Amino acid sequence: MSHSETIPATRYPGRRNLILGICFALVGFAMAFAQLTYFAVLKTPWYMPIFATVGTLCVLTALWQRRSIGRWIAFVLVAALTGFEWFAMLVMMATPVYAGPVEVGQPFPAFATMESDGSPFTQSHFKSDKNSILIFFRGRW
Amino acid sequence: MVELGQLEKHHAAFEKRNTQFFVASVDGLEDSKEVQKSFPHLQVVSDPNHKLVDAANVGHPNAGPHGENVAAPTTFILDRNGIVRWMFRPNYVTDRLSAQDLLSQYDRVFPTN
Repeated sequence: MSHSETIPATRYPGRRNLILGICFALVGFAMAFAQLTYFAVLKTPWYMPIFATVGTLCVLTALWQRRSIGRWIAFVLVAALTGFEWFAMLVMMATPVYAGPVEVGQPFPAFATMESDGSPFTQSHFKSDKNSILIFFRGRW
Repeated sequence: MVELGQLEKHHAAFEKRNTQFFVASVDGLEDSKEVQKSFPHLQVVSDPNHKLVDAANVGHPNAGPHGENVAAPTTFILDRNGIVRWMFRPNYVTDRLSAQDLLSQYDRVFPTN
């Protein structure tokens, strides 16, 4: 006597894609945070929006496999995160193109400001028995 | 200020090359004093009136945490006569020269035989 078994259809198709998509979106962010704060590697973390884009595609696939309110919310959130990360990387983090007046081979322009102890600081400080490195940084924040 | 931390950590390599280091921002005196305490081997410059930033034209409009103008990350190497020998501006604020990168570039500008 033979019997046949019916393999039930998956109740939650695309669940793996949904979880994978959310993980991709979050892991890129976590890696960038670790890179900048823990490992102190000062390079733009392009992998962050790339991972988020992959995550968005995974969540979109999950949504296509089974529509639900939860998956729609997940898609909107992950897509918004992805969009924000690309905007931040390409627009917010971009520096202006340098247009002078400082030129290699020319004296540094005249200025008068102060050192952290309040004493004057001018271009004459660059004329000494030492070479100088001047670095502009964004600030204590 | 991760960049400043790296430079502070490698200050001996720059001192060996007889180099003076200036790090400038538009922070006021009080904030600059705090930065100076954290990085004692870097001479911190306070430029809240943007005199230096404007002279060098390194301002980054609306880039501060509250939309104020701040300095765009820029590096200059100058010789003992105050002549600019090299300059660097990254395309993105998240790209910075590591201390090793800066040392290598410095050695290219001022080779020692």
